[in-house]
Formats: sequence, C-alpha cells, structure tokens
Amino acid sequence: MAVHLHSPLRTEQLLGLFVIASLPATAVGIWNLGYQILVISIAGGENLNSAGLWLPGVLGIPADPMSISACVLTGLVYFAPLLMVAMGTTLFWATIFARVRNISRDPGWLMTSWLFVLLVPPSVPLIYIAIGLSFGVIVGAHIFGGTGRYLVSPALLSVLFLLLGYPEFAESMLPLQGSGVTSSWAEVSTTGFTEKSASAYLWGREIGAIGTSSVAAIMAGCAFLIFAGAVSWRIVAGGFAGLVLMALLLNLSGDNTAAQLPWYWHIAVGNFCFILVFLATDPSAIPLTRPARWTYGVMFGALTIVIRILDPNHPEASLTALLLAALSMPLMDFLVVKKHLQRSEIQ
Amino acid sequence: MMRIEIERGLNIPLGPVANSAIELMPSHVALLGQDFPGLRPNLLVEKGQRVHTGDVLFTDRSHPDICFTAPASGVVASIHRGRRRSLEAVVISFEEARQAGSNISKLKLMNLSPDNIRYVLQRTGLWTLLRSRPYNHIPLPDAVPKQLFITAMDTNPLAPDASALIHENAQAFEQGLTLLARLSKKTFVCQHPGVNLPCPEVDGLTPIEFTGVHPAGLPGTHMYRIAMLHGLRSPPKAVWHIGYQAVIAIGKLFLSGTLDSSRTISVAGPGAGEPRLVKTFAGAGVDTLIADSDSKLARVISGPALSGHLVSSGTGHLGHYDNQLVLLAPAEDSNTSPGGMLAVEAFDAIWPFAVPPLPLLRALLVRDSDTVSAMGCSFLAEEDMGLCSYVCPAGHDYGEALRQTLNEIRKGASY
Repeated sequence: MAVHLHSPLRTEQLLGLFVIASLPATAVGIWNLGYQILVISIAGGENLNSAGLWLPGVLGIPADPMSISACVLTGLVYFAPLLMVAMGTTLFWATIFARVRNISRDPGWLMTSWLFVLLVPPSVPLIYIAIGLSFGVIVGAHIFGGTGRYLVSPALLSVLFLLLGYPEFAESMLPLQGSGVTSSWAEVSTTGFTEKSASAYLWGREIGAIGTSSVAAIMAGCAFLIFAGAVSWRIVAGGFAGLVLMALLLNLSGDNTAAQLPWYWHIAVGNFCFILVFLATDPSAIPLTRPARWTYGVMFGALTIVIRILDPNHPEASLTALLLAALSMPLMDFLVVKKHLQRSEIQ
Repeated sequence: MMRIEIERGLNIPLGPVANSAIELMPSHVALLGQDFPGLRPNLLVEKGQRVHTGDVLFTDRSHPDICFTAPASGVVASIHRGRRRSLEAVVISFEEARQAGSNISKLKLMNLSPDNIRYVLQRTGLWTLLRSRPYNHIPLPDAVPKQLFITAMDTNPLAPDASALIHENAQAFEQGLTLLARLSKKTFVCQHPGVNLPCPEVDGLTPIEFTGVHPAGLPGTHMYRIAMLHGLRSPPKAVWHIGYQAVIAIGKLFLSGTLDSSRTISVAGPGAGEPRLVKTFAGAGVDTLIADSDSKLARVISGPALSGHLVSSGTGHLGHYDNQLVLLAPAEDSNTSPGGMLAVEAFDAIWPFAVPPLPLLRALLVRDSDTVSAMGCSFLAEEDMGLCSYVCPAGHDYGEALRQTLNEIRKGASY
C-alpha cells in the first residue's frame, strides 16, 4: 500500500513558507542596513568598507540616508554576497550528502542559508559564512539525516559556532556611530531607554543582525506561518508568555539597567522575535507533544530574559536560550508520554 | 441514544457521490490474498473447475473451519500465486450470482444457538467479513468477543450513504443484527446522528451515534471512544467489528437461505467522469465498474482514498471489505525520498485518540513495537492512520508502518 492522497503542504513547500514569511523582515532589514551604512559613511565612519556605496552612485541616486532607494541599493550590495555564499555552502553540502548516501537532495538547504544570513552581522567576512554554515549543516543537520531528524536548527548552530569560536565575528557588527556599541540590545542595556522610543525598534530602526531589525515585519511573517499551518502557535504564545513573565519578575529585583527594562522593550529590542518565529518553530526540531511545546516556548522566553539580564554584555541571549530549550525537549516529550501512560493506567 | 462527538479529524472534499444505484454484472469476481494478511490458504479448487455461489474455494490451513467461498457461479479462470507460493487471487469468470441449490434450508431464527450461527457463518464464508482487534484479523472460529461494533456509517470521502442503503434493506439489517448480537455480550450499532436505523430490541444491543468529521465513522475510533468512556486506555482484548453491508448479507442469508454476495459501491473521485452508485458483487472486476467517461489515466483505488489499495483498471478487483472505488488524478512523478517527519500541528488536529500522535508516529517509523504496544495502539488498523499519512509533509506511509509493527508485536505475543 502506498499513500494515494497528500495534503498540499509537502516538506519542500513547508520549508519554502519560512523563506516567504521572512521576506518582509528581509526587506526592512536590507533597507535599515543601507540606512546605517549611509549614516556612518556620511559621518566619515572608520572600518567601513566604502566599496559598498558604488551601486547607488552608478544608478545616479544620491547617497542620502533619507532616500529609500539609496538605502535599499546600498543594503543589497552588502546582503547579496552574504546570501550567495550561504546558499552556495548549504547547497554544496546537501548535494555532497545526497550523492554519498544515494538519496535525493535534502530540501532544507534554502531555508537554513536564508535564515542564517538574516542572523549574521552585515559586515562579516564571507569566509566566516562558509565556515559557520558548513559546521552548522554538517554537525547540526546532515549527520542526523537532514530535515526532520535534527535536534537544533542548523542556522542557529552556525551562528552560535561563529559567536563562540570566532571573536572577530561578534566584532564585525556595524558600530553605532558615536556610542561604540554594536547592537541595539547593547545600547539599551547600558544606556537605558531614554534615547529612542520602543516603536522605533518595533518598526525597524534597530542595529544588529540583518533580519532582526523590524519586530513588526517579523510578526507579519509569524501570522502568515501560523495561518498556513507551518508553525505551532503554542510555541510562539509560550515564548512571549515566558518572556513577559520573567521580565516582570526580574523587574522586581532589578539591580542593573537591563533588569529595569519593561517587558515590551525586551520584545522590541534584539533578536528574540526573529529567533522565536523562524528558528524556535523549525518543524524538524520542535517538541512532539502539545504540553512540551508550551514548556519549550515558555522556557525559551524565560531563559532569554535570564541570560539578557544576568549578563547584559552577552551579545545574543536568545541564541543560547534556544539551544538550551531545544536540547531539553526530548526529555520533556518523554515525560509527557510517560505521564499519559501512567494516567491511563490508574484509571 | 448516546451520542459521541469527534472533534478532531478532517473531511477531505473530493467531490459528490451518487444517490441512486445502477446494476452492473462483472465479467470476473475474485478473492484477493492481500485482504487476508497472514492467511495460509488450503486451496480446494483448481483452474478450470466449475464452482457455484457459496462453494468453498479455500480454507485457512490453521483453522479449517473458516471457509472462503465463491461470490458467484462460474469457472475458476485463474489462480495467481505470489512470492513463496502465497495466494494472490482466485479469479472466477462470472456467470450468475444466484445460488441455485442451497444446502442451507430456511433457518428458523429463534432456534439458533450461537454455535449454530457460528457454524453457518463459517461455512458460508460470511465469517470472513468479521474482523477482530488487536491486529485486525478474521476472528478465530471459537473466539468470543468482549464487544462487537457494527459500523453502520461511513465518513470516508466519497463513501456511499450507509444509512440510505440500510433503510433499503431494513429487514435484512435487522435480522443480521439479531443474529450477530447473540455472538457477543455487548454489541454497538455505530451510526450517523439522526438516521433512525432499524434496531431490534435484543439484550446487549446498543445503538450509538457518532458525529463530527472523519474518522468519526471508523471502527477504530468507535472502539477507542467507548473504551475512553469507561476510563480505559485501549479497548478490551478481542473486540470485533463488521461493516453494514456484511450485516445485510448475513440477514439475507438467514431470511432466504441463500448466500447474497451483492455489494453496493460508490465509484467517484476527481478522475471519474460522473459519480455512480453501482450494485455489483463482492470481488467484482474493476474493468466493468469503470465507465467510458472516466479518465483513462486515473489511479483506481479500491477502498477509501486514504487507506485503500491501488488496483489495475484492467485486471484489478474490488477488495473483500471495500465499499467504494475512488478514481484519483494520475500521480505526479515524485522520486524524492520522504525525509524525516516534520512535527506540524496538523497531526494533532486530525488525531481523535487520547495518546499523543507524534510520539506514536515516530515509534512506528522506527518500528519500535515496545512503545507502540505500551501506548495501547495495537487496536489500530491501517485505515486509522490514513489521515496521518495525508497530512504528513514528508509523505510517510504510517498505515504500512503500523501493519509491519503489529506483525512484530503479534509474533512476540502469545495469542
């Protein structure tokens, strides 16, 4: 017997939905990236590879940060090579493993490379992209058997690998002119929240990784993914609940600037939303049971706050939090099943 | 009347079904080995031999009381053998269906003891329409069920209207119920809500309504829901189930004394020119059931679209337990390997049982029979996994995985 009828949502289409859902975040990210670069270049910023400014010049558009087309074109010059190298790397390994194992090519390569590029700082050297992703997809995905079988999102693993193994990687963030901090989280956690309003971060004026700049664009993608049935709303809801509850709790005991931040700032700033919506919901790596999905979401949100507040200098708290939450989930699933069997035994 | 609502599930829209039946005589009828997994047949006929309706074609080698009989009179056209001399099909060229000289004279209903009923059912081949769970096999000749489920409904996409067919054969259905209820202490007549099926006043016979989306009409769903009502994780051992057309056939046998192997099936689907309701015979050849207006390239499925068997439109036959032929559009060429299971919420949304679905499916994929039986899932059958295979993005066949895992469990179990 074989399966004669399939729902339209096959593996390849399902993973493609993640790419489609991240397009708004990508668009805002590219625009914001171009804006930051133009602002820095006008102020005569150091360490900036000004070669990226040629494209608006060739097309005769003035390099004005207020011009959307100038921003987008400048952003694209930085974004496109990153994406090319990332897609080349994941496609290469997917093809190699398919050849060696004599199976069809794993469909996860596009989603992994796409989400990875949105999570890296824009001025990272291209060789790091290749190194990080190679580690992530081989160790994180292919040795487990690829899509549907791995434990932790390979994009997440790639970023964590670069962050822990290559100090230059974290330093390759674009510095915010004048303050020397390299991400909005660093800015907010040290200076408090008097400078900008939370809504600026919400709509996209954030510095840091490319894809994380606009919470609004990310949430649009989130709504699309939930509506399409690609992600579990329980994880997303649990993530926000965990984040809010833990932030409120630590507000009471706050002994540093970061601890005093109200909960909505934690949502607006940093990469929490992006990681929650696109990486924590990776259908290959999420828990199998509904109670475990809630626990996973809450644990991820709460851990993000704990790491952010106890160590405000930690660059990307959500990455570590997700790793910890994801690795503890097989145990949660096991306990849920065991509880179910025991409960029905008693009755 | 008790009513149980099935909230989780999915109705897949595949188009309309027909309401009024046309009669079609098949050119061939057949009994197929794939409908009786694990059977070791003892063939009693040979190619070219003339057989009559109700003649025994083969018996079960381990239980010779269980007979498999000819659904129609004719000449044994061919006997197909598969791997290791397993039986694939006994094909009879169809001449007529009426049973000429019956050796079962008109039977007095009230005087029949359960043992007599058993004997008659086994001798006429109608016993093979009963199935016992766990493992979904034909019950042993002397087995006594804890519960018997009459599946007087069908929620499969494109299935014929069970209630209408039962109302047309109300008397036979009622007689069938009266007899079957004597085999089991408890018998449930599972039906759509508000259809008022005939139900005789007999001890132990309980009508019960199931509402909601598919799989609300599958016997597996009924068994687990009744067990859940009693606070059990899985049904008691030895639960039987039987379809409504089989009940009608049993009723007709005891009313008229002759074996009636007619079946009313729905022929419909995206590949069918026009949906039809066809009155034909058990095991009918598919070629005569398919009309000229149907797509020549369509895939023909005997049984439900979600769990049936793909059959050849030229040489295939209707399955023993099937009430429908589904004609689907030709398959797209896909030579991709399925890949790993993706944990989408859709699995939880279509799963009507208490056990969490994804841990079970993962256990099935790795043939972890210990976990599967610990979860109490040996009462499931292939058809219960149909929706899981449908929503699985990777396209795994969980019905097949279940069948193989159950075979493992059965090998290790004592019964």
